[in-house]
Amino acid sequence: MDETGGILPQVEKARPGSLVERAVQIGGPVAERAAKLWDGAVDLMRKVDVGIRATVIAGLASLATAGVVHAEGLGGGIDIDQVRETFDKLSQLANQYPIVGVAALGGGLLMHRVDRAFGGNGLKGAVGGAAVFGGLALATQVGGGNIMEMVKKMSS
Amino acid sequence: MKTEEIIKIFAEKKKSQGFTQEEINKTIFIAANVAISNLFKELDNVEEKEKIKNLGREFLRDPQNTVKLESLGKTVINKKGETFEEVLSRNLESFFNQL
Repeated sequence: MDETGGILPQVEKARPGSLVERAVQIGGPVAERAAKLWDGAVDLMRKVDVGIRATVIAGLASLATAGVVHAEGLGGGIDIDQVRETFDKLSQLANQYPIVGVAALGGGLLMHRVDRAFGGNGLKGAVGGAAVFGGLALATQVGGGNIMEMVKKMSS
Repeated sequence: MKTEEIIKIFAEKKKSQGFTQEEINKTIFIAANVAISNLFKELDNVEEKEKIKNLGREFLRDPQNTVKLESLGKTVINKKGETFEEVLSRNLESFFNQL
């Protein structure tokens, strides 16, 4: 109540702390790796095939133009023809590591929705999301950790 | 609730709480990764795993085809009768609710 006895309007306040920090804390290692990729952590991609790495970067740029990702210094769109070969490679790798294909599908679908939620037509989000998430899955399976265990299970 | 609406509501809520658009976008990206990872964890038999493997491969053959993307997203992947997108969407919403 205010000093005149009236009811003060309820204003929803932000919880203290960074939103990203909370997301990483709750999401664990997967969230941490995603946050690093967003920040352009080169070490995450170091062991990944150069072609795949290029696709991931192009995908981030695509997401940026879709209004989804602000990948500083990676402005511009995605050249679909240019990354066609790499998508074929991702597809082949999905035979060996199914997590790559599923992550690409999940990422493509979710980023398609995000793109549309932000007013786009969804295509850039879908292609960019597929590239980034497929590549991220590959990077994490190379890097080890929980996802590697999942890859083993999925591939068995 | 549709995935798009879940994302919109989260983004608008966090904006009204004073978070920057960049922080919101980064959080959505993180949440999407967590949702996909949790989808994997939910699969509990060979048949489900096999089905989802094929979906991923099918999509990668033609990643520009959003009609195909929509269609693959509507594939039922578990015993509860949930589709690929429904499982993803549920995990996304659950993660957003914790933030």
